[in-house]
Amino acid sequence: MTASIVADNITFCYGDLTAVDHANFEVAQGEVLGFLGPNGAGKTTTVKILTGQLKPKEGSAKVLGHDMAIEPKKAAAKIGVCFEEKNLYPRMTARGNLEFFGKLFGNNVDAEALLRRVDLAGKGEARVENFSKGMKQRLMIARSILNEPDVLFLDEPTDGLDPVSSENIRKIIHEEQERGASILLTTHDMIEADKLSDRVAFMNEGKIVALDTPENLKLKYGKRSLKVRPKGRVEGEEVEIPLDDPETPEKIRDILKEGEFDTIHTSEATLEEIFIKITGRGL
Amino acid sequence: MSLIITVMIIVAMPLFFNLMPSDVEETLYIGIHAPGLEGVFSQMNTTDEALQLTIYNDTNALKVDVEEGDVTAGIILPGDFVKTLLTGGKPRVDLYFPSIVPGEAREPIQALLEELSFVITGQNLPVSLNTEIIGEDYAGRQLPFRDQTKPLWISMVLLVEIMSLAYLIIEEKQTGAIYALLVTPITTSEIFAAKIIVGTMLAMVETLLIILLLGSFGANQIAILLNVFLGAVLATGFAFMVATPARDLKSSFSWLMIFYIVLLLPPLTIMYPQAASWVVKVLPSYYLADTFNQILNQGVGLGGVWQNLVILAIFDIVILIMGMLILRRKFQ
Repeated sequence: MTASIVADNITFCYGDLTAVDHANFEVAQGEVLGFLGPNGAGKTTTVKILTGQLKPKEGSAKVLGHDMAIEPKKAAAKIGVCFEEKNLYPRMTARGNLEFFGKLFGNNVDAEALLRRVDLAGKGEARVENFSKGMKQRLMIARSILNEPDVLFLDEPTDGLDPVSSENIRKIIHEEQERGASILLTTHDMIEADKLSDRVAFMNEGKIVALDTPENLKLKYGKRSLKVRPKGRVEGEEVEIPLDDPETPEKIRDILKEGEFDTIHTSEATLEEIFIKITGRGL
Repeated sequence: MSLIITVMIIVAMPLFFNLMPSDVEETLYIGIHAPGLEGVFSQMNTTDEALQLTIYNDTNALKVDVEEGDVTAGIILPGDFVKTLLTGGKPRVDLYFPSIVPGEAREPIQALLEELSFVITGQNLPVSLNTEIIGEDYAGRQLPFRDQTKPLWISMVLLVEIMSLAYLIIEEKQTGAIYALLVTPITTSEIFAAKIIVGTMLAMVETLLIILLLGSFGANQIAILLNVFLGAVLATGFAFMVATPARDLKSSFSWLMIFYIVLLLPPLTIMYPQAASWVVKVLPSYYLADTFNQILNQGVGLGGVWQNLVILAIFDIVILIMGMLILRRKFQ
């Protein structure tokens, strides 16, 4: 099956600064690719190239089979973009923003249904300039899905949201994926990326330094361990036994001899730890 | 913000216009103290409507009225004025002018007195004067100052629209909404077309409203409409140019001032042609203001202003294309 997004050696420079350095990846239909990296890594520039806002200096970016540097408008009707900036029309109402953008896609939008879906029911007649940061973010999500896109670009979709709203947005992302949309998700939130993404790409200084499923990345770069706190010991006095060590079974037998335990659980490396290990820097 | 500016102009401009005097003062008011010659000067009042002489018995009262501007000039003749003249002497005549009277106005009055002196002594000037008016004789039909200002007011409305339209684009850039538009199926050309149509219509409607409120939408309506349309397109093109370098509303102000200072010069020189140089004719607002002046103040029809309209249309095309090109680069 043809991939929905194909980035083939794309490169982009801002003057002397190489923002995206020969990036190669694909996103299959119905797949969620998490794009992780610190500020300035090149994630947003990559999204701008894939949405046709910028033309790459080298390489090609294809979405739904269309080269976005040559014929961006042919793909535009079937893509949705949730920008990091809250670029709504502030003096229009929430409903007005959705209906206006709906018309640009040639759709009659059910604004109320969309607002309900993002937990903004009853806020349709309120002006966006009076919305909180979280409400604007939810409206941005609603705007990005109003045309039932085949490809969805989400740039920090849960930025500024409380845990309940964030969970709601993750649910929407999952629903869109089940509908068959391919999703490119850029985020700082490793937990979110871990939960939502089929694969993650680590980007650092314009380069993609790792691209695989979260599980494979953890297996390859991470450290699994068993953490045990025998009874009577305080928090922080856990015994950690690496699970990938040849001496693991013997160590486990030894600790079990202690008798009673307060806690016993496994732990695995987080994506953030893996990122630091690969790039030498944090998010 | 744009709406506030528009409403302010629609209210303020007709108000200022109607506060200005609506007629032309053609009579010259002179105060004179001429003991023994009151009858002579009173006679001059009845024969010459352009000259109004007020006879003063008290020289101090005359000086006070001169200082306060109640009369344009004050003349004090000595009691023995005629006698001294007739005996070949040189009587001293005191002339008083208020400080606001320019030199050009003082000289004719001095010349008048000198000629009067010759007449009184029976010595006419050894020439025969023939007066002829070349071109339209505006005697009795001179334009009130406020009508002379109409091209300036109307051009200003169009130029102020540059600010309103630029603000709308700047806000769209500032909020990033324009970038949200660019990832939809709508093309950049369609976005510009929409802005040109709406910008031109807004500027046209406001300008026509002002013209109606100034009571100037009478004859030559086609020519007025065409000039307003071309002026509105010009304002839209300049709005694109102003909106491009400005990061926000505050920074747009300095760019606007540059445009205003340059573009408002021609409408001012239409009112004071002697202050104009050839340089103003390279500015598009000259053709805008001059066309309004010809149509509204001189009654010229489409046949007389078509050249100005063609030049203005060429400026429109050039400025609109330039504005679109530089703003488009900013989006990309």
